[in-house]
Amino acid sequence: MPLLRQMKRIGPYIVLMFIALGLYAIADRIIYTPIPGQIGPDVWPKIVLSLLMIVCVAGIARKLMTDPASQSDQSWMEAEQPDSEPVAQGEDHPRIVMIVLAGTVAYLLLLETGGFFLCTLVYTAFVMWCGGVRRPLVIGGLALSISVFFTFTFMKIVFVALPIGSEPFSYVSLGVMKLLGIH
Amino acid sequence: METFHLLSAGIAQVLQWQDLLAMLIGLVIGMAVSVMPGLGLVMGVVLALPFTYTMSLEPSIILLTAIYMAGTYAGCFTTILYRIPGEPMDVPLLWDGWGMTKRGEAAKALGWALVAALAGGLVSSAVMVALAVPLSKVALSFGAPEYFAAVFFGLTTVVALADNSLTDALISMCIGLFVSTIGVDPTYGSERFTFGQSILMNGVPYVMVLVGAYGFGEILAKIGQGVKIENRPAAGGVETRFPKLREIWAIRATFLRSSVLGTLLGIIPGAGATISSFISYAIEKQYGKRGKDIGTGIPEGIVAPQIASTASVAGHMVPLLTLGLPGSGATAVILAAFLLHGVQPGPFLFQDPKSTLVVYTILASMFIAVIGMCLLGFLWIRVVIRVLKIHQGILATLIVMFALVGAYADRNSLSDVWIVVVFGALAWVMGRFKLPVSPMVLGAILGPIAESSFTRSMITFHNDWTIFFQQPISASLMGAALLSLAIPAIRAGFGRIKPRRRARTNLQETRSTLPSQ
Repeated sequence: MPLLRQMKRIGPYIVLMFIALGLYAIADRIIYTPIPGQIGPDVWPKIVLSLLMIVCVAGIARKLMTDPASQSDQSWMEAEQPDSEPVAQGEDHPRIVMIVLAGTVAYLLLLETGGFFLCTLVYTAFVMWCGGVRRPLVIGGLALSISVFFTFTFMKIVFVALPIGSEPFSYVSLGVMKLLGIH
Repeated sequence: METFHLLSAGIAQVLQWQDLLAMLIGLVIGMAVSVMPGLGLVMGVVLALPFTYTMSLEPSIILLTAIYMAGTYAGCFTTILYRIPGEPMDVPLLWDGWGMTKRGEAAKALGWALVAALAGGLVSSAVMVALAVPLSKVALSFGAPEYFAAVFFGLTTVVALADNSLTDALISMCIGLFVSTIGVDPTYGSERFTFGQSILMNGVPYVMVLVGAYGFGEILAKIGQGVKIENRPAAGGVETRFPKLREIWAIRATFLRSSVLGTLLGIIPGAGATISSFISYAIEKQYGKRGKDIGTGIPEGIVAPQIASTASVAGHMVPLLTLGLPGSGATAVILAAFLLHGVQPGPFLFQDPKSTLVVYTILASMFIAVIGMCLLGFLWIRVVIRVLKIHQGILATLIVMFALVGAYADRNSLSDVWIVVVFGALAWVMGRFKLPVSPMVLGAILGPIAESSFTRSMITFHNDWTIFFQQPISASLMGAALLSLAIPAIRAGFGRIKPRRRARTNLQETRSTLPSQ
């Protein structure tokens, strides 16, 4: 178990170090025509990646040398705090974040097909639900208001060409634009 | 005299309705975002950026600067009244602010915060006006090695002052620097780390990294923490009561010390309002006349962090306007707004009379913004704290939409929106592994400047790596940078030795008290 715990602590550093190593190998294969006396486009990324690898090794060494229960990782800001009642900490719901991320990816993938207005209507309702709003009427009303607000503000005031989608969804986008006086 | 003349012209310019309206909107947005816990002032500046696309340069910069300025002040309302720090910079304010509130002196605590914000803002703006021209003259003598050394100093400072371990902050910075190398190299035109993807050909715009990390990423973190309505009642009356003049005079040393400290820390790239606030509080605790009472609810504990955080705003504008170097996330967005309007901030801004007037208009706007911010805070405090009543799930949705649509609006490109989502997710993952996000963002912002000045130095000085240590300005900056890295490393080393020594002593004491076998 202690080995597993140690691996959990140093795992991210090892992964990062191998990624940096892989990227260093890619930097080695950057194609360019060398100019005599001038450093190539690979030098700066190699310096950065070398530094990253060194720091990862230092991070692994630090984690291996320190006791997980020790307070040496405490930040100086925390150390400055006088003794007082603690401020409430948030809960931890990584699964909800994953769901929101998946929903965002789906929103972006469907944007060109469904059009900004319709996709935003569904997406904002979804994010509000994930954010803890549970009243359907409030969600529906607000999703509609937000979609109309963003369509109007960005298309009419900021002059941004938001995606209108492909048929038959584009009819909805064009209808909304007509209603809002966007030409 | 010429400075005074230019400043007067700047004030006359700011009083035009477009600039005044931009400032008012900026102040209201800045106050609203800083009141909400978890929504930073950088997020406010980032989300307002798309709206500046169709505006002219002056109102754009005035709007963003006003958000930045107000963002350092309004967090005191919720900190003092509800014990909810709106921003990390408000945490030191909480210790004494809440102490006064518990004694029924909330209105007085808010009055002290207002006076401190006013003093910090005005003093640092005055210092900035006085320093702008001399610094721009110094900046004109800057060559590539000096620029590299200045950027290097900024990067090491943000790493050294990061609220985490030095190694984790360095890792985060390296990730940011690496991100800035993606795309087509400007010197050779060769592709770097694009993996054949057209989306990466133009590189990763730092504004998208900012929007992703501070906009989308923070909302993901907030959703992950379970957003819910804070229905706490205010612990004191929602009003502001000014301290008496003799009370202010009694702590004049705190005012002076914190104003100077906040402005100086602001000038250093990387040391933002949060760091200024914490350092100023710590200095007051150590050297203040009533240092030992700090934390029990005394005005010095409110004045020191509030002055320093507001003063740092004007301090941050100095390297941006004179060197073209953004020292924080908010100033990086302001730089982006400058560039979007085809203006490159830097010493050459002071060479042309027309652009000099623009600079002085921005400087003048900061004086007016400070006064406006305090007036709004005094009069609209009840309205501002109503933001807390909005369900955070609704607010999160609005911010996500501003982040995504704002990113799209920059170049009418979905690629930018994907970059925002990727960096939002990355910031959330980094947060889960306790890696600080700010060094990565600053690395992405300063990376291109660091690389170009490094490459130019190498070309000009025939690949002589020691050039950064041969010229006085660059050598001093490099020395300061190395020192800023060495001090926390040494302190961390001592930090590790102390608990071990303490544990050894405890063990020996325990052994000596045990009955012998």
